[in-house]
Amino acid sequence: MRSRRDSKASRPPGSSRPENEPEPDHAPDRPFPIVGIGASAGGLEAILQLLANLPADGNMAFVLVQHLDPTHGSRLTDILSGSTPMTVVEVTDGMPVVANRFHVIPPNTTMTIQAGTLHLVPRGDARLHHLPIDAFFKSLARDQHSSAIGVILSGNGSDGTQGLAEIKAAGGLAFVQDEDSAKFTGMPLSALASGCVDAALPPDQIADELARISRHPYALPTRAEQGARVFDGAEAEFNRLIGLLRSATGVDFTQYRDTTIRRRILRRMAVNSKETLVDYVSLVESHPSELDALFDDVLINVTSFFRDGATFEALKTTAFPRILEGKTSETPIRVWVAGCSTGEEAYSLAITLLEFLEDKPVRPPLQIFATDLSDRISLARARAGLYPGSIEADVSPERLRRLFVKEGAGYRISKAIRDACIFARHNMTTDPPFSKVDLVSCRNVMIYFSQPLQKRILSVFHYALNPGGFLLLGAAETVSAKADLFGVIDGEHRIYVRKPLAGRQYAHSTTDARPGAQAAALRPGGAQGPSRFDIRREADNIILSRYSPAGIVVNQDLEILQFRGRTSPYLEPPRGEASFSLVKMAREGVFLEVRGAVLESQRTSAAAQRGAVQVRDESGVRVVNIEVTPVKVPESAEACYLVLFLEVAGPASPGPSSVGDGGRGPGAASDEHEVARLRQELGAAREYLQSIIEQQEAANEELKSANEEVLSSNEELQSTNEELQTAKEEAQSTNEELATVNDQLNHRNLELGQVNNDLINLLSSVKMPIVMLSADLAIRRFTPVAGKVLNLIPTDVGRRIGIVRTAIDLPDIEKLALEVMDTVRTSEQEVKDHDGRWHVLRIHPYRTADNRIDGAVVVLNDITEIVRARNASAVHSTELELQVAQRTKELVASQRAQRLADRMASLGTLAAGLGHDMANLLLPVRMRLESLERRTLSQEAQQDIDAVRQAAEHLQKLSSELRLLAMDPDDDGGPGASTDVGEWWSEASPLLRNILPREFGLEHRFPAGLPALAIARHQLTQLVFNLVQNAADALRARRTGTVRVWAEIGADRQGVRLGVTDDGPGMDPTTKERCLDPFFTTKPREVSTGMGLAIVHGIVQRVGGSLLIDSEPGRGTTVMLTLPVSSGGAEGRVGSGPVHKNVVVTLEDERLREYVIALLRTMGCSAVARSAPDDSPASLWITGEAGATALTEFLGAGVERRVVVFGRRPDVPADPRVVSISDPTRSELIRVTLGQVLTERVER
Amino acid sequence: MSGTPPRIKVLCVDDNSFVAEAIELKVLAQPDMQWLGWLSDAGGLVALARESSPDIILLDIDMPGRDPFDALRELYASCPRVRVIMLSGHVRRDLFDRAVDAGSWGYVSKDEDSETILSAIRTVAGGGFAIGPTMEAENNRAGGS
Repeated sequence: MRSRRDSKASRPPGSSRPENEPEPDHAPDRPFPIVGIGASAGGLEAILQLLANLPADGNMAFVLVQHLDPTHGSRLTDILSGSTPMTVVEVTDGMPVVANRFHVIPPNTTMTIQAGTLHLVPRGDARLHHLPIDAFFKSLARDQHSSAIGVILSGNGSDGTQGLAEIKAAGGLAFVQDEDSAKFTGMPLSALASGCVDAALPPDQIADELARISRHPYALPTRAEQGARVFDGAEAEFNRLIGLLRSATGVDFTQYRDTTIRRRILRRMAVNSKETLVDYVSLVESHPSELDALFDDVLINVTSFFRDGATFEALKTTAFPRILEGKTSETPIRVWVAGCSTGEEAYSLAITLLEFLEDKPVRPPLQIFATDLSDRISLARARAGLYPGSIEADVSPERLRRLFVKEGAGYRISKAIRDACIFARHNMTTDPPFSKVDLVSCRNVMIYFSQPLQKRILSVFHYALNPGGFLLLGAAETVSAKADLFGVIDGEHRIYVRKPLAGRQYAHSTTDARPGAQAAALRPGGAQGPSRFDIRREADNIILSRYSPAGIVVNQDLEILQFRGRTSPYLEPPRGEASFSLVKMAREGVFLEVRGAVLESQRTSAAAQRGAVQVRDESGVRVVNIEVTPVKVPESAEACYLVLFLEVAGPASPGPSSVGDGGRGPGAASDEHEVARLRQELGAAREYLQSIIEQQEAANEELKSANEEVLSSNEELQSTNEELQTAKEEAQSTNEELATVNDQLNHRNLELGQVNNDLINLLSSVKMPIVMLSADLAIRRFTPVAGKVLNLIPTDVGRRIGIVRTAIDLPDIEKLALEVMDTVRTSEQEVKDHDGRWHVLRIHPYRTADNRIDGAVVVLNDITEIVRARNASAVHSTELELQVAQRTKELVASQRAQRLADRMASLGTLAAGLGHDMANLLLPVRMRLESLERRTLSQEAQQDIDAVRQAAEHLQKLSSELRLLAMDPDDDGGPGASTDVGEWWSEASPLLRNILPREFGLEHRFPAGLPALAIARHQLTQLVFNLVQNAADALRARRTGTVRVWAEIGADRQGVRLGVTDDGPGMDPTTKERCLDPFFTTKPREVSTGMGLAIVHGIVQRVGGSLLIDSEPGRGTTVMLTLPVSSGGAEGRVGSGPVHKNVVVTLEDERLREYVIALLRTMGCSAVARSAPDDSPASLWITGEAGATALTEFLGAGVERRVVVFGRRPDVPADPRVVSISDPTRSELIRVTLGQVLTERVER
Repeated sequence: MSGTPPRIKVLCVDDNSFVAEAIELKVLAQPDMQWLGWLSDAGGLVALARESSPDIILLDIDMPGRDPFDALRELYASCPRVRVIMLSGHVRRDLFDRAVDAGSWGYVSKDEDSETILSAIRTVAGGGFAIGPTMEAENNRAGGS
């Protein structure tokens, strides 16, 4: 204990104790448990649930460490206050923890607890890993030990896992929120994976558990109370429990520190809700798994990577260089990590060693034996080598990167490190140790052991280590129990070196495996405390030393354990190596007698004597009696023997005679010779015997050491075997995986076969020559068509394409293919085969699934037809270009036409408006004139009125003509149009006259009997209007001139020639040729539309006539139209007149009926209204609904009769003579239909 | 009821006062007709027709203000006995058809002489449908569509 205090003083503050030092036996009582709660994302909800179910008077304190935004203040305290009757406080530095109070961490701080007081430090560098929960939990574990309870709620990452593990290791309780209720499961799952969690529950149940524990003896304020409540009067149960553990695990915990065991048992009781030890023991007996859990709990030991990092650096400078001395690359460095727990220590040592060896010329292999008592949890995890992400805090990023593999949220140790470590279950107190080890690391293990056990363990280590080997202990451990075995190398880092000592400090015996034996054997020595003054005992000692005979105590092997009295006459130090072996020390004559006596005593278990033994020393021969008494040491199986030498006679004079003197009988002088001879013989025999004995001893010794080596090797083999077992299991699972992979491969093979079949079918069905080339340009595969086209045969496969004589000359094919492979770009080329057919030769790069270029694909495409067509099209393209140019010209012209047509349209609108307005004004004029005419007026007035009337009539005509001019020139009124030229002239001439300036004459000449023209009146007006206007324009420069409009019957009487002649300047041939182009004009732009002749041309073409221009410069111009003659003759009327003259109308609607009758009359029929058809000679009957019933009758009376029905009538028979007007509200429909019916133009 | 039939009550709607006054002059000269007056647009036509219940209304088409065809439809809805003759400066088939569809009883061009107009009034008042000769000619022009 003294050494621990020393070490404490020498270490910096803040790490005042090793993290998992067992709770001090005399630790101050803690009045209440402190519950640390860690939460992060999604934690608030869980905290509120937890709070709502916590008892307010549970005599527990709560400290919440929530991950908080470092840059903002927190309202957490306010929020939580509302949901618990407990006081919720935000922690300030130095605040003591108070029971039944909820302490909340402020933002941006790291919180620790020391002696029940909370300390805050500002959070360090924000970029560093901030693990506030781990930090607090670790300090809580150190400060509160078994009174610490850790709870981890929802959150991401792995913060809290290490802290929780340390709480558990310190004897506290560990809870996490279960996966189902946690919003974010990273932190709870990470803690669960570490194996340190007692229960995973929803927050409300965690609260219930906490409430229950607060009433459990576990939570009692003083340990005396706890002990009293649970263990007092239950010694039998306690021993039974220890016995159960021993029989189940082979580990005897009686040698472990009592308090530790008791605390762990109490903890398990709390976890299992057992209040008395009796209950707990019965639970253990009925649930063997609980025994395992208790065993694991007792052994739990928290380690971390590079714990006390300076130690490892110290090893590099102190121990490792000396270990390396004398090593070759064949002799391994052997390290034994005893109590390796979850493996971090072993891996850390491996890493440190490997790093140390990195720049050394000799790199011996590493053998790190890592052993632990429990392989259920610790070793399994150590072997897996998978650690949570929070090891980032212990392992430098550089090492993490180099020596770990990131796996999920955690890290797995790299294979190189893993392979250097062998993990095995091993009990260092009973199992044979490893041997020839260079370094033993046993940190924070011995602190759990009682003093005698510590001594024994140190002996074991001493045995295991090579001469000069090193021992590494935990910060709280020293070799003081066996200071003679180890020397201090580095006291601060607890590095010791094996002292070379004579004699074995550790003698392995299989009987030692019996627990307690060794301890009992050592106890007498260990029990030598400071003796009290005892006169009687001192007196006894004096008497004993003066009067007692000389003697020794030996063991069975005749090793001398004690010397008593003056033994030099019988023993002497041997030559050579120092030894306590009786064989070597005994003077001549002693050994055989003593050995015989000891054997006898051993056999009889009683004292044995040998009388008159002659012992020779420097001074002569002594005669002694030897007495051997077995000494029984209680509780020890090893027998010892007390050998006493009782002198009978003092030393006689040297020389053989003296012996003879001693044994001389009366009257035996004649036998002297015989005696001398026998003596010599005896001497020789003795020497011979001695040599035999020595040989046997040597052989014995060798056997013994060989045996020890075999034992150690056996142990190693056992470890290796376990390793192999693990490897075998791994191999098994790998094998299973391989089987699965094999299945998959089989399946893939099938698929591949299918794909291959598909490919073959595809290639043979594609009617396209395709050749696949390998990277060395050999033919790999080709389609049947390719075989035909290129003249390839199957044996060409594998030959280079450049060598094969193909039906198409491909001189550059190899070069091209190589280029394609290099550039990964498709090449295309046209080639001609021997038959003169053209092909496109395309070479594509051959891409494998992994996007590698492994050859090329050559595709041929027959384009003979395309080439031909292309050649042909080249010939046509010139023509096409010409056509396009022409079309473009026409298009431009038509665009201009459209512009001017728009202008004409507006001109038409103007004319129409003018006509309308004139009609409007003429109506009153004419009416007033009529009124005037009725009156009796003077002759002169009458004449004036006549003149006005005539003018008005003239105006009236002009107005009509204006309207005609405004009409659409394209509206030819359809077939049947007919216009009498004479009549037309009389109406149209006033308008035409107006076009010409007064000084020009307008003449006309129409022969009599001119037939009517098949052209609408307005079209004729527009024709002549334009021609006259052109003539007027031609004459404009002349100031005088005459325009003649004339007509004559065509030569073949097929049409009428209508001409307009002027005596203007005439046209040159070019102008004449181009004058029919729309918009060609000879006039200044602003004067002319250029449309005149084009419009004329358009109308003439529409009515089926023709146009001729006769013009020469200086001789005027004549435009002559040949127009078709109307077949009818009647002007402006329906060509052929109505077929049906008599019509009966029986429509119900009065207005409709009168409208129809009026229409019919204007069409030249005599229509009458009747209520029903009768016997009148009407051949057409127009009816509405009323006449439907008489329909059949009317139709039946005569074949020529027809019916027009207004409205949709379902009862109208499907008769070709019946016409329906579906919508009688549409005047236009009625008008047109009636017109067609009357002229029989209805399609039957 | 005396032996002589009741006089035909005539109303005229035309924006051109010369036209309306000339017709007034003519109608007043007819013993069988009664002049009810004229309106310069179709806006107040329905109200006036209800009030004065004319027999015949001469209705111009090309007028500012309310669309005469629209007014015509409303008029027939409220005074079914009133008969309307379109008297227009336009001679167009499309306008003719619209007039008939809107419910008119006749279409007479302003190109016609006064006798034609008066006879149209009498025809319609006597129960017939009136189509003026100019309009008739336009209707019968070959291929009328």
